[in-house]
Amino acid sequence: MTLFFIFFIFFGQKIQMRMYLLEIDRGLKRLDFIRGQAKDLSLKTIKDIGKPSIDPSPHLNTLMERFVISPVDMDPAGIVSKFDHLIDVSESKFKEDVRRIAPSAEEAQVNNLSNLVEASWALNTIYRIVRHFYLLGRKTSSFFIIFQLQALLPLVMQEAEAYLGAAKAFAEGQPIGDGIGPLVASKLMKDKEKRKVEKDVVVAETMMEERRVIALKAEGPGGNVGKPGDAIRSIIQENPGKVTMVVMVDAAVKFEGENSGEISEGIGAAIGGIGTERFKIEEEATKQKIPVYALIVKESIQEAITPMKKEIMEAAEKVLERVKSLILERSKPGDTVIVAGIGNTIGIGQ
Amino acid sequence: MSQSRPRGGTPIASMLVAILLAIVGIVTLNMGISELNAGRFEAALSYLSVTIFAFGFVTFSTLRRRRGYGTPYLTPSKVLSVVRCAKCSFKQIKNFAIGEFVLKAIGNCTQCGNPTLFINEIYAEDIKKH
Repeated sequence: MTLFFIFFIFFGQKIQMRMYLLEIDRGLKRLDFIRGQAKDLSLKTIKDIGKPSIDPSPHLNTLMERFVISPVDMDPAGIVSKFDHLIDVSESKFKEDVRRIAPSAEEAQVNNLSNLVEASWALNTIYRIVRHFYLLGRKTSSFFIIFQLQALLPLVMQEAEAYLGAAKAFAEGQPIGDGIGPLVASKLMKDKEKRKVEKDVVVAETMMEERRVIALKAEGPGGNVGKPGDAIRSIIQENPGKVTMVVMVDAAVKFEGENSGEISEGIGAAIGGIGTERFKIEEEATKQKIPVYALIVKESIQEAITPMKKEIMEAAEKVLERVKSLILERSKPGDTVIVAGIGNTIGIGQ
Repeated sequence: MSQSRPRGGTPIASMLVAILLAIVGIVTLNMGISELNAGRFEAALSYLSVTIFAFGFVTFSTLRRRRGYGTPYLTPSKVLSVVRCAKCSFKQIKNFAIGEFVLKAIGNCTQCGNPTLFINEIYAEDIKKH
């Protein structure tokens, strides 16, 4: 009896670690399965849409291992433009590479395929990182590495499942939860004359209670987020002294317990990413003393990258009402207002 | 991409640990009851506490495995397209087809005959709801 207790005092942690390792191992196998499914889906879609003359597998494997080296931040002055340049180069090269393995794909389809390959890349990266820490934990028998990995694994698995859902949506060109911003902008742009500004961003003008409203969104229906920062800056510069407010509509991650499709109103540039686009909007708005208002639609991280749920789709009309009342409250007749729909416009035209 | 498989335990190994602890639990339960019948309460308490620990561990590990990572986190859903006419009240909900997108013009309205039919909404609905 005493021996039994002594055994557990000395080996209890080892047994617990062993149980954690078994759990991580199961998660890792599931991750491997998920990334395999996403890769197979990417290959199938590339072959179906792109009709390549050669086997795209080796090229796809190369794309799934791609990386971007962040600029040096020891001297942070000018780092935003460096990041912006890196992202531009990376995106255009990535798109060119996808176009090369899918020569028959149209522009919108190339965008969807790029998103699909990116989802596969994300899953591959998640798998590699989890496997790295799992093997490191085993090798060093470090309880704390294993414990942290085991604690985080449910969240990692949720994200991986969401990326698989995203891959399916990208393969079929379905709107995703993140597209709520472009959806709201598209409702303002319907049947209006559109023009392209900056990279992959379209703009249309409409009147709302004697205010001139300039609506913008990424060019759809291909998977695309565009460069709304550049677009807002160029519209403000095109209309010197006329723009009195900017309203940004975007999807935002909700807290657990909150309802999907709920709308919140705030101040500031509602835009995700690494911050380059937000920087441009904040810089221009500060320079011209233009207030920036944000309307966000709450959704989970899974809902943001999987096909748009009905309750999120239904929020679009409510957001439009909020945009209208915000414009009426905060501007005067004759003013020019920018309404920017931020997010991935896959499956949403204009 | 590296295809090497990580070395790790299998569910069989955790099953073996659970079986072993279940045996320990049964044995100590018997011993605890015998000690209780013999009037040796302290020894009985020790054996029975080991029984509770062993059975608790087995139950805990079994439950954890049941809600493991094999179960998908995403509920299966069906993607639907809502077709509307800009001129009349015509509305139709149908299954999404590849190539469709929101605001895509899809031809003449079957109700009013105008070329104003378009896809107004595309959304996913949980299959359970149907």
